[in-house]
Amino acid sequence: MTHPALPRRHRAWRTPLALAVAVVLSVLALPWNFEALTSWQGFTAALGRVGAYFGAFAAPDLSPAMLQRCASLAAETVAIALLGTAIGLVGSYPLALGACRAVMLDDAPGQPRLGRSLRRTGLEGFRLVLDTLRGVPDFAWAIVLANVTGVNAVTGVLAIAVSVAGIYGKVLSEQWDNIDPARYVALRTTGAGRLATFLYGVQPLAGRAMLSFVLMRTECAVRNASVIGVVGGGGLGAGLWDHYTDGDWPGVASMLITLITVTAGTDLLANLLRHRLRVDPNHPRAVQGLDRRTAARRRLQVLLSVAAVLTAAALWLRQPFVRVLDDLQRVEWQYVRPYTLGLFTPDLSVFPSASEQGPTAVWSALQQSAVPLAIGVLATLLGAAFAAALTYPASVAFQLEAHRFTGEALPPWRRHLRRALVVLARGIALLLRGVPEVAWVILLAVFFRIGVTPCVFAVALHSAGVLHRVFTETLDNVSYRRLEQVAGACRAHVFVYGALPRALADWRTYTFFQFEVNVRIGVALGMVGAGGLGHLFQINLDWRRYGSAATYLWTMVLLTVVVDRLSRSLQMRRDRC
Amino acid sequence: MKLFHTVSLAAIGLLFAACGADSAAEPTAKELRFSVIPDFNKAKLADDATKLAAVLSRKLGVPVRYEPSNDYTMAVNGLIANKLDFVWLGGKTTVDAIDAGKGSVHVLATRDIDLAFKSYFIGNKAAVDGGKLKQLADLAELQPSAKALTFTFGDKNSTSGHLMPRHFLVAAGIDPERDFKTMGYAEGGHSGTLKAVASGSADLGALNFAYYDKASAEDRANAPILYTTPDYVDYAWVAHDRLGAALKGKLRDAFLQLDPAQADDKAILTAWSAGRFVPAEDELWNSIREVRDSLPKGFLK
Repeated sequence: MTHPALPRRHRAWRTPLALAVAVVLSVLALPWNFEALTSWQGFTAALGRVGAYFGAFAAPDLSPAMLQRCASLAAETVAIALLGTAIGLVGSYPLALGACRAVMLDDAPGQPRLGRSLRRTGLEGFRLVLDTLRGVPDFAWAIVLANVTGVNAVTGVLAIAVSVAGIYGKVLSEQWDNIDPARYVALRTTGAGRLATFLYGVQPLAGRAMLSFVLMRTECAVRNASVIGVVGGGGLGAGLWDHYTDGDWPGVASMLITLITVTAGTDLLANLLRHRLRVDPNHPRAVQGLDRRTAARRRLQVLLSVAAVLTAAALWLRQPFVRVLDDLQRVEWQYVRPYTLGLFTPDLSVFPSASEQGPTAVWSALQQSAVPLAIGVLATLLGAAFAAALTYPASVAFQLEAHRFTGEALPPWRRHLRRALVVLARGIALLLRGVPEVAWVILLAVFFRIGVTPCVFAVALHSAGVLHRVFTETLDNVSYRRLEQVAGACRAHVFVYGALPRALADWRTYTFFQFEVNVRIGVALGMVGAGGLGHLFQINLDWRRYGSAATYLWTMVLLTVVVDRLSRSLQMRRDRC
Repeated sequence: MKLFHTVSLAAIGLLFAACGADSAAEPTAKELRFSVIPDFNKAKLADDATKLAAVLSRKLGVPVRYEPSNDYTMAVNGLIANKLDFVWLGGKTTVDAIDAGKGSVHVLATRDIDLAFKSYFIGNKAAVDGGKLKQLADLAELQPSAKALTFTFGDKNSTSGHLMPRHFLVAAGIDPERDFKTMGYAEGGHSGTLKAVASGSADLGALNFAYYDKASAEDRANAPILYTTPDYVDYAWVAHDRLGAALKGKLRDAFLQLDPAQADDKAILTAWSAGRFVPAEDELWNSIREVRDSLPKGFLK
């Protein structure tokens, strides 16, 4: 077996080279503005701006009226996220079934050819629908929907539901397809149909992974719901953005603190639940199996609390829903058509018309895709590097339980010091991901000035926080038995030679998924000042050029499809958001 | 394509049949809905609009409801699609609404100041003091120094913050996208532009003169006026014909009769920076339509 070794060595330089090329191209593609860093004058001016803003920022508005507004917006945000996720999940289920190989395709011999190719077409069709739902950022959905449903929580719920449906549909179908067919072949051979095989074979086997992903995605939805208000979706985002555009910095501070409380609270709660779903049963801290009765009781408890929470969310948002339904009955739909159905007919002309100079929408869409792609590349790599650097000090295994594989004995004060280090590192990461990208842009724009520069760093900081958690989790999930094998080495060496190689493959996968997410965020930030595809979509919508707007919209979908097929071809499994 | 249109028309027809008489225009509305474009400080806009709703409710004897719009387009689309009955629009969006309404949308009234509206080009004080910027007799004087300047418009859909300033820049031989160091659209409309220039986030910006004249002395000191554009027509109250001639007439009269001598009315006029509201015909905005249509469209690509 000398063959596999050769291509591997051959491949070794390919990834770093590809990355280096991507980074150089990305740096060249963006209109940077480093005025604040390149000259002393620029730097002092930038510091002056930061000082002026943070002076106001350090004194959040704590008046009773503001606190009440914060609390009610926080509740609205959570309600939007939960309802949006629930609706999205229900909506995604049939789509996921349609996009699942195991359900759609029948591998039994003797099938008529026509039936097979019809099913195949159906499968691809469902996948395309999912790509569209997912490829259009929730920001864009909200902008389009707000024209019909208005500036309120309903728009937020629907925008989240649509994009969440796209993500759930894809991931659930992939999780089902990831189950080895050998594990449910017995069902097929005893005569079960495709649906029965799915219900009694595939789905139960994927149950734990599905549950884990649904939980993670719900948590992400809270983060998304907290900014969807920027484009009309209600909740804290609306409050944050209104105070920001009004230049009311004490108000921004109050909103931001509330926002961080909500996102960090959800984050910690989800962490707690996630630990119960730990995948590796051999891990020393894994929750061991429960007896059947306790398991059933717990399941019922979970079901009832989910139902109760969703009912509460629905009740909280009852008023806007009733109002929107009432409004919709009077809407004259033929006037709504241009900016809804019209977005399905992109302007595909390749050559400029006589009346208009310059490139057509198709060309500029392709050209402007560079902005979100470059933001994606740079922000993801910066974020991943930052997250990786912050992993070691935050690792429970290496800071608190290292004695279990290195045999070291520490004085109590050093144990306390390490505990403080873990809390500090995790706190930083929690803060990084607790502040949404848009809010980071707002803060960084004070220093770097408006443009693409603060956007890149904003996405990088947020990604660092998001990646840090999964990076640390992967690291802490490495079984200690494996680490013991790096005999006699110190803690740092065990980390570098024992843990890192095992975690690295997962880190790479997570980083790639973050890249896909960040490209979409790059598009969305275009709608709030980063330029590129998102900006062009919005300005064409504003100037009522729906054909061109559609071209930019479908380019967003195309971008997602390309990145998605790339990740599929690299065989990366996706089980997070 | 033809098939697609037929099918969608059929679907919409069915929908209409299902809705029955509900969606037909009602001459005697139970409630009037209106919105305003979010051209500056949203908190203040909402406050002013709520006050206006109360005054109009009283004068018309019909409940009047204010609906917020997140951007300019929403106000136009809401009016056309029967989510709103009348709206406060800028010059460009007024023309957009008239065009999209296909004959059923008309100007109701405008302010005295809109007949001779202007934009200011304002510069960051530090940049002016440092010699980077100076008073301009003509926008063409910007040409030699433009490459060193960061510039900001207001909202993409604004007349006084984008359309007309761009028009005058282009006329002076400046392509904002190409000639400035960076160019952007400030979030938050005119208040965003003023803040960006006053704080130094942008060196130069263009905005609505009426908003600027009422802004805080501190902001104005930090962002002095460098150039005032020629006059043009701007904002208007725009209504849809589904209101019915009678109600539309009453609504127009309510605006025209707002009296600076009365405290309630005065508060509305002050909030709108208006001496009075005056009647106006759609044709007055033809000049804006011409500018909108003839402007080089490179910025949309």
